[in-house]
Amino acid sequence: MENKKQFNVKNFLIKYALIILILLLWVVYGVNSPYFFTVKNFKSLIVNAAPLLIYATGMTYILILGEIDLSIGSIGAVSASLWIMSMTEKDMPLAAAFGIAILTGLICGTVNAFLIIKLKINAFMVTLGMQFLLRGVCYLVVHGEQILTPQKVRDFAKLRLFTLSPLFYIGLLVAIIMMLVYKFTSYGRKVQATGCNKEAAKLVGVNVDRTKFIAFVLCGGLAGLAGAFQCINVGMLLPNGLGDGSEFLAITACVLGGTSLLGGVGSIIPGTLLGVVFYYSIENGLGLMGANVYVYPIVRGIVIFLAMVTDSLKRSIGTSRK
Amino acid sequence: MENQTSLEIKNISKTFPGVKALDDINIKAHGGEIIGLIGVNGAGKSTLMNILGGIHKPSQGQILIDGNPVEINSPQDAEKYGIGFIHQEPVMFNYMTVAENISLSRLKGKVNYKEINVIAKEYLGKMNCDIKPTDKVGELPIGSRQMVEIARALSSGGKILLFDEPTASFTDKEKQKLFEVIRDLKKQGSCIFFISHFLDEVEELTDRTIVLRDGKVVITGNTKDITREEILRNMIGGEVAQVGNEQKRTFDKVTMKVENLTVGKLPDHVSFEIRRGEVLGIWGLMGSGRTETLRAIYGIDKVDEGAVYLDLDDGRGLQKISFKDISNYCGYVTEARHDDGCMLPWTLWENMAAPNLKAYKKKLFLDYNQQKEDSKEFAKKLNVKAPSVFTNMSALSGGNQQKVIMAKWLMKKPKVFLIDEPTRGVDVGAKAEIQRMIRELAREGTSCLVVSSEIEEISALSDRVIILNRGVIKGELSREEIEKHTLMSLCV
Repeated sequence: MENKKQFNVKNFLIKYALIILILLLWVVYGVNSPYFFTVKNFKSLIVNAAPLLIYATGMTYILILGEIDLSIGSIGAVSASLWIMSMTEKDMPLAAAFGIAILTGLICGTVNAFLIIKLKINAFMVTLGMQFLLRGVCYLVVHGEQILTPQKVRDFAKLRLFTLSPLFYIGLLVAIIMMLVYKFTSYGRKVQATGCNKEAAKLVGVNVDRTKFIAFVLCGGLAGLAGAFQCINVGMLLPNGLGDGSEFLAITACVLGGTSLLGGVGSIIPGTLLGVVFYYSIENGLGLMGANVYVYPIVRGIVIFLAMVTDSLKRSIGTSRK
Repeated sequence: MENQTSLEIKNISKTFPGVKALDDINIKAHGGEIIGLIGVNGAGKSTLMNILGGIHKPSQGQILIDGNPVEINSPQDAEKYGIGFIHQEPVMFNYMTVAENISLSRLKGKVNYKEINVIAKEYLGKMNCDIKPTDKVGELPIGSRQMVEIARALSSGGKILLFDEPTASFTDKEKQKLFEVIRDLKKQGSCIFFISHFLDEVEELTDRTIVLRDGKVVITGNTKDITREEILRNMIGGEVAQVGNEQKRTFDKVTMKVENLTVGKLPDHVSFEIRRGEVLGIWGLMGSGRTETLRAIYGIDKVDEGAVYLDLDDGRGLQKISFKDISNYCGYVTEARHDDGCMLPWTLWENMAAPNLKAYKKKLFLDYNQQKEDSKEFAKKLNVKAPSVFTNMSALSGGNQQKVIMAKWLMKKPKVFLIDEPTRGVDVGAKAEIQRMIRELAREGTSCLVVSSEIEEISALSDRVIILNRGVIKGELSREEIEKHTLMSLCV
């Protein structure tokens, strides 16, 4: 009996490892910085986290399918550059500009999907190629220049609903919708089925190619929106920096949240959402404690190892039960 | 009779590049009938089933359901025409629930979990299965997974059910339950095709037997009118080679001693000795710890307690060998050939040389010519039927793959040969051959530790049998004591 109980405690710890880690982290930061546990700080944390949450939401679908998309950061950059140009050059309204950003993302996603599914090229290589290619397109669109966000964008970012920025609400809404789609629609179930066992999915009549195609297109569209959001947070468009490395942060957040790189398992809420919160808590706290800027990449590296350790621990529990 | 489903397979032929898999097949079947489809591997059973299941398209011919010609281009089409395919290895989504697995192909728009749980319960209930619809399939035993798969076929309105060797990994109890379910389905008017390697299953269950050989129907008739001899003769087109009943043999030297081997609960303090040239059978049902014992000995799973001693013929007698070194002296034919038994995309010689690369080291590089020469020799010795050792493993039939796997370990000249299910998924001809080979190996001095879930096989092969039950040794029988009844009574 005692033995069994111990086993459960271990399981519990691993299952809720991320939540426990987040809480521990908060306590450490709270003790070390008087600013950490302030409403203002948490507000800025969740607003900063919104773009990554959107990137990672799309990425969760791709990872559950057992695929990978390395181009989302560059998709975000291209989308954001067209988004900002449509306002500065063509003086389009903000809503239309967002439409353009998402549309750009959808088109890039479709190109990815076409190459991966129709031409049957490996997803890793296709999206890596797209990462380079789209970065170049982004430079071309903005002629390699940095562009400040126009006034209407800054006004939009200053809007408040219950004292919170619209970026936060939109990010959360996207995550919730995509979670509901995953859990409660036939499309979502087909995504999981395909990731669990591709051959079996084909045999029960799931159109595996279509399922994957849609996921890549969706992931692209979300990346387009996330790119524009990143641009809003920074206040200007940096053609070399915007979205650079976001694909890997998104993958890290997903894996931290329990999504398996082998496909078949994962969740957006709570999983990916917690992964994003964890990552931003670390960055936020480091900033408040006045850590050396050069320490940031080291911490990022450690976070990635942590993600992999939790992934492997979970899997080892799965096999030992068998 | 008019309302019953009927299926007519008319002049169906199927050609794969270079192979005529099916040659002018004609079969008529109707509801309320169980048809046993037997034949050696490569006879065309699976191809025929795959055509009905919409996985392959026939090169020629027609399929009629209820008298209407139909075209089955995809598994969805098959489902539409009421054809349900129950695969040999359950086709399942391990991380999803039972209900999701059953209803997946019919999900549209929003998923109503309440509804699919009710559906799951209804069809599982029809088979008297008390599997919870909300359980994750990955956590169910394999027999239950098969039930989930049948429920899936039924729930999509399956009237023509294709069972492709469903009992391959079943315990006797699970098998009887499956048979009950199948007989029940027959009463409800389903038309059932049952593929099996086991003749006694076909005899027990089916109304009609169809034997395929080389893509043709060789005989067909009422099961009770056809004799076993007739079936066997037609399956392999010649006389059946049987394992001879040998004299009792005596052994002297102990080659391997296993002491108190424990890995969690399976196995639990297992100790035994195996002598030079002896075939020691391990008999037990699924879940008795048979495979786990072999894995532990070979050093794959972490051992909690116990030790293995080997006599390395260096005059020092039995030596304690650490678990990480045991693989140097033993060979291990695994239970699941395709999962962990071989490299399917590799050629035969690559597969055969793989366990023994150290022996082919020539300074920094590997001596490929020697590898190829040795592989040729062993392929010939074990009578592997393949164009050459440069053929890909994936192109071979199950029986020949198994021979290659045996050959690759034999090239290493193991002291003890661990063999898990030597003839699973292997046709009758190759089966007898493999069994004969194991006996021969033993006669030449290799000790063999054999696990099999077929009672006939274990009795035919073993000089001695130990019986495992829930990880514990429950008894030991010498060759003359081996008897079906005793074996069964000790393991349940």
